[in-house]
Amino acid sequence: MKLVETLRLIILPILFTAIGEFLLKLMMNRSVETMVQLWVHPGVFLAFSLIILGGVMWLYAMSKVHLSFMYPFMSLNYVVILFGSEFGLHESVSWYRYSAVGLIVLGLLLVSRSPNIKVD
Amino acid sequence: MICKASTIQYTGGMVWILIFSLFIRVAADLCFKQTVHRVKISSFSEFCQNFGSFFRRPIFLLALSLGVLMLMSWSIALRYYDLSFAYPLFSLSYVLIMLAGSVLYQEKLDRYKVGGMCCILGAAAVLILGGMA
Repeated sequence: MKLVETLRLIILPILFTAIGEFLLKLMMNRSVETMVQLWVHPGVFLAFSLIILGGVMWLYAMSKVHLSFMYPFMSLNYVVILFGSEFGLHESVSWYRYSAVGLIVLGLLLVSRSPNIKVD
Repeated sequence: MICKASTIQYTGGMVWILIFSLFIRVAADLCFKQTVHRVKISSFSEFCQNFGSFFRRPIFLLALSLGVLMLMSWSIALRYYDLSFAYPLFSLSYVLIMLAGSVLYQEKLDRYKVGGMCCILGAAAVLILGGMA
């Protein structure tokens, strides 16, 4: 499989998931009387759809490329969410959070090295 | 349910919604795993062809229901927590799923997986400490 196609398989689900999560957070920051008002809002429906679509695309990618290749890219999701939260949602992101995401990336890199992540 | 939008970094009183979402996510993933457990699928097109048959399996319907419940509880959690706090904390689901995989499916926990789990647990500790600071 070509590198471009592999990256498309992996980058697209990351983008869909991240955009879905950002949109969901933006919607959840709105002031409403009840949660039901939010759950029936088209923006929340779109956010849920993007998150689900991202998840399905991950499953598809897993059928195409090795899990050991996928795991490090899964950690990229956390990096995108962190930078997006700080610069897109203007959250106050402390060094604790950057350190925590660093540990998660390290943890997923370690798991990707395991010889026991494929079903026989 | 009346709720206010906020970006509270650590809300002890609402921590239950995060824990609830986490366990529902793990339960949903385990149900999805149980759905495809021992199902021989050689290609994605074959998976798509067989996808309709999953809807006749109660475990798959339970997985879908838990998935919807997880999205609803996750959206409530996002009203009280920053995305940059809650999303990384949700990586704890990897630890719980790896432990459950070891117990339920006899998946081997080697040193790489244990090391990865320790890193993720450390990340959760750092996030919570940072949230309380």
